[in-house]
Amino acid sequence: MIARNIYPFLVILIVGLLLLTSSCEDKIDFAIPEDTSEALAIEGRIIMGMESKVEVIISQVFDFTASGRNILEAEEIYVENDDGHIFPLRQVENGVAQRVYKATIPDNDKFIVAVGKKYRLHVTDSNGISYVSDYSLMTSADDIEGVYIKKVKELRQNEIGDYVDQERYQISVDVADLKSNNTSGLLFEFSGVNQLTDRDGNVCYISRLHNTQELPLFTFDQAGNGEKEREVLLFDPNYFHHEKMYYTIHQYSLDEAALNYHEQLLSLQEFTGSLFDNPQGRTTTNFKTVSETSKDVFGHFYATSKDSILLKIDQEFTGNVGLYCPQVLWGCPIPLPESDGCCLAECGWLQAKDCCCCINLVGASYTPPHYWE
Amino acid sequence: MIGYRIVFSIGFLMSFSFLLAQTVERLEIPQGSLIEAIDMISERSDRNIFHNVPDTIILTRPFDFVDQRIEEILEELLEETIYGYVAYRDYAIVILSKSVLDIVYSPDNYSLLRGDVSEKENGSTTLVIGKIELLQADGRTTISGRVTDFQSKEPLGGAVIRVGETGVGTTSDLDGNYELTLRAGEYSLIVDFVGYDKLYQTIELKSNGTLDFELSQGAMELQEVTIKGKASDAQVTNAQVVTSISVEALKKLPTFLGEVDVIKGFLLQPGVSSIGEGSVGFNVRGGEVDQNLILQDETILFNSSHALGFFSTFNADLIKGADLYKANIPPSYGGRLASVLDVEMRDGNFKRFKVKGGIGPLSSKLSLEGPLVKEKVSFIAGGRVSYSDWILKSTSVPELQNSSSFFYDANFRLTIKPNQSNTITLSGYKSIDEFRYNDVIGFKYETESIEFDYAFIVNQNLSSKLSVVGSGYKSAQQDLEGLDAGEWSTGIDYIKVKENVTYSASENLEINAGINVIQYKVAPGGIRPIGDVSLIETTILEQEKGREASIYANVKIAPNDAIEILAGLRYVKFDFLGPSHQYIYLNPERPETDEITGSLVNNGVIHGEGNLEPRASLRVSINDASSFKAGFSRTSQFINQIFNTSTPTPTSQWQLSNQYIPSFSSDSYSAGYFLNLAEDNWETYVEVYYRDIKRLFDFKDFADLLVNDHIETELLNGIGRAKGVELSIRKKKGTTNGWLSYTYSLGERQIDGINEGDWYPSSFDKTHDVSLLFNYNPNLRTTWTCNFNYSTGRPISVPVGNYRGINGRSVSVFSHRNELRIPDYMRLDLALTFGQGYKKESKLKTSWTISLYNVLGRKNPYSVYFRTLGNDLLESYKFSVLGSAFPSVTVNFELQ
Repeated sequence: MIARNIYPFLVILIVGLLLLTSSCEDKIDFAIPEDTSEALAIEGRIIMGMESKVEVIISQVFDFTASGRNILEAEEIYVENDDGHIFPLRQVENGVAQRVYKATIPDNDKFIVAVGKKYRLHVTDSNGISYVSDYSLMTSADDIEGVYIKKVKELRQNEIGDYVDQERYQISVDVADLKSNNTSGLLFEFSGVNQLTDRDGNVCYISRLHNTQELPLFTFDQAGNGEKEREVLLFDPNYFHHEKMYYTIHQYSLDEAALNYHEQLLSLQEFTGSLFDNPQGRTTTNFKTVSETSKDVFGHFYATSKDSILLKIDQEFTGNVGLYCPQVLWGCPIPLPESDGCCLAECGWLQAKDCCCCINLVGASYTPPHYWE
Repeated sequence: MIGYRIVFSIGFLMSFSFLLAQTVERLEIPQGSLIEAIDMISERSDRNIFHNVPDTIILTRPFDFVDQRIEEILEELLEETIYGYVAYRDYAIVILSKSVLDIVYSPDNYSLLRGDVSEKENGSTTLVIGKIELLQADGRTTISGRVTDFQSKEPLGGAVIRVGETGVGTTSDLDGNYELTLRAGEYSLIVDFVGYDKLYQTIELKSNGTLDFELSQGAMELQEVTIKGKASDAQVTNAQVVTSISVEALKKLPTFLGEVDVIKGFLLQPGVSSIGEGSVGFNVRGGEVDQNLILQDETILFNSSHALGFFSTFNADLIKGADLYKANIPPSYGGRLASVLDVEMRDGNFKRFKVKGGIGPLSSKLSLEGPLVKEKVSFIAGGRVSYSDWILKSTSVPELQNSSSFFYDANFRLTIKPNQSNTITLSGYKSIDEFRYNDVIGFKYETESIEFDYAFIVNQNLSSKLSVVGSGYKSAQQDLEGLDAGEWSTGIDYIKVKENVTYSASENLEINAGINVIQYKVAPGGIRPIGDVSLIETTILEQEKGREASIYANVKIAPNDAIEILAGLRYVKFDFLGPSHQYIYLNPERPETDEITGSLVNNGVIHGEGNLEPRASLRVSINDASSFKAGFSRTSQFINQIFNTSTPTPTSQWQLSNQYIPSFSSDSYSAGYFLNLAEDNWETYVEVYYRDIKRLFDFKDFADLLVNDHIETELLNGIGRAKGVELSIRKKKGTTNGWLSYTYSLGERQIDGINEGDWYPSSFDKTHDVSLLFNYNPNLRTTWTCNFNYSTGRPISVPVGNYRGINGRSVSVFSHRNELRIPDYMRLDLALTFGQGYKKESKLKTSWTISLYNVLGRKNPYSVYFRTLGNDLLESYKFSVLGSAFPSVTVNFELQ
């Protein structure tokens, strides 16, 4: 009797408990503030090096909802030093949703670029709103004395989820001592040129930036202080290391504000959105609007001394032999139209797309850089 | 006390014996049902005979009565049974069990048997107290005693004892003791306590004496939700604004898996809210979850829930009552900014053993209590355990199949009462929680405590209570995946000693004073690797020590019936103690990581601060049914939690104040109008509050909070404010009853270095909060309950866009601090409780509770996270602990 009475309740219970199994993760949309996509982002720097240069990237904030990125042009853009001298920049590239402005400052120009001087950037956008950065002190750091590469093993998860030791390449440099010259930190960036011989025997030299999201930073505490071989880059072997590659390691000195800004970028880069992450926030900017209309602005402008060093990665190091792209010995199974002396179409399963007409790759040239051996 | 009962009983019977003069000429009663025999007597009697004799009682032989009085017939008939009788005036005879008869007799017991017996306003018997030759020259006398529950013998604190003719009265203290000073004479006393039958007693007061009262719980016990303000009109009469919940009231609320929850009961009050399922703690008037002092007797608990908020820390079967102070906190409490939740545990039954339990689909509980030495020593022990893995494994969702949830808790309490003046209590508590989701994240936390109390009644005016507590709380959160797999742990140990003294100078003046010392030992954090592939290195931060010592005094003054004033002062001294490794900063006011100039090891008192905390409450009665109240509290908090997540977890780090991390301090103001209607059955109020937080800290953007040995560099100091208005309407009794509450509030902070120095919402700011509870009791055995909650989503900082930087690097843009809000919270629950018997004599009582939690199946968010897509797009996701309606069926039993 009792069992019959509770039977319907048990059915309700079991069915109901199984309802618990519905998905607990759902996409949600936040009401993004309306003025988010109107904010401007300006990242730039004046670089003292073999040649003094200024480079500035201007873009608009993308608020995840727009159909594409908006872009604002700069009506006027120039850098100013603490002597009151200015140097204008010109637009050199129209990137996707960004504008690139550069300038090369001759040594004999009255606009002096030197350690200890201060610089700031002025931008007026196409809406007539003007922005100016704080003055940034030109700092310096010792030249890079040495660069090293070696193979290391790192425990990583493979495609099937197992943790195995995988071979990686590690680049290290002798990090400069930062005790002088008001330098608070160092930033490292990397570019490279790799050699690739395509299937038709054409040898191309392809320039590329490396891992643009990575931000190897060294602060005052972490800097060399006489210690050698601090790791700056860890990466996987790739096909473009197969024949030969030259890495250029660029070292930029940072003042306190610039270091702080880059540390925030690093934190944002490491943000995974999980419960265990440290809290994030808005990056600090050293720009402010000077027009009557106030607008949000992001980014940073800083003065920096740059030093670069080359690193060769050849087959003696990698252990590779021959060429990456198999050479055409038998031709394509199906005759294909040719253009400019190159075979444009893939030959099916035989080789990677890069192996066809390497000159068409972004950054490719038949002329090697001057340092190429 | 026993002597008075015997005297009373005999006197009562004898005083009315002359009335029982009716004689029956001849009455033959055959062997058979006792009920039939009583009916036969009733036919021959000119008085109504009331009884609750079951039909299973059989007379073992026939009876033949000749020329005997009714009472002689009843005596002989009932001699071999468990029943006896007593006469009520000249028109009724009541047959009751002999054990029931051995009480201070109340006419209200009639209502257990017949509803048509009305209560009389004058006691049926006049008790004589004292002797005329002992009367003092000024003619004044003092009557004192104790008010207790008839069944459990537990003291009833807050019962009102008043003189019917004049309205003069007093209330019993927490131990049920009362004292009333009157001139010699005859009075009609009325003893009143909500949920209990009123007791009427006529006394003739000749000199000082004692008179105890034992109240019976309301016989016609409607299944109402009763928010007890101690006395039925306490909301308008007490200057101290406090919300109390009885265990009976809790049992009527919709439950999650059939489990009664003290915290969820208070969440229905205006001004009290939580983040939602899966979160821990609760917020009072916009305060943080760590700003509530949670007490289990005198034991401080640092976590108020199990299973990430689904079950309360407190076992409802062992609770005597719970009070929440959210406006004006009495000086006897301190150390937290926003509120005090004081849960009092009950003693075991001193007369008989009881077993109580509940079996549900995912959790069960069992409690046992009884006397070790009757009337002198009792014990009570209870435990709960959950076992949810079976249902998780049987789901079709892989994430749930790889998840696990478990908790258990156990309480034990030994009470020794060698005499009426001394009570010694030894109690202990232990709990463990473990939660794991999809083998990705996990939480563990545990509490252990032991408490010793010694309560001593010095004399009628003076009582003392000494408490010594030792407790430890440990917590850990786990990242179970990958090369970063690790466990972050933190913990708090403390020893507390408190001495409290209460002195009742007169019926209009009461003084409460004491000292309280807590010695803390905090483990701020540590990390260790988990698994074989983790690259985490073990790091343990140095332990921290602190001492919080306070002295307080509080005075209750009632110069007349219209005004009551509570005024008190608390002085607290906090010391951060060494030995401790301390960093030295270029600017100690604002420590920065890159401005560390050195370090050293400090001993002794490294940092000390003292705060004076005045507290005051005022009640001005407009009439018997309404009053105006106002209050002020200054509070300080020297141990605070640092939340590094958008959802507080039980594993968030606790941090002592030191020379770099200031204590929190706030001034709270409140004022309200309180109105009772329909003889206190309806309670309404509107109250406004404002809290000025003079010192607080918050983490700065991009703070590094995990296992950081210079955490002070990640925190910034500032100020805050919270304000709001609360509305409440409540019907306490009746076939339908319940309440509706609404809160409009605003909580903000201003910290230089966060949000460009502008005010921003605090993390627990909820603009609107609505709670509705509705009960329907079609009969004594059945209760239908509906509960609805709605609240504004809480603030959060999220990525709102990105931009391109040098070398094409993508940089995320976050909103201003707490600029956006997660989706609003809304939940509807239904419950049906049936099968509750109202026969107090039953050995075994059972009841069933069927509940449907989250009827709307709303996926209220527990946390928010993000996933990066291609083309720099970012998508936001919410994780909801409950993705659907959740039913449960629980059977509860009680064996005595």
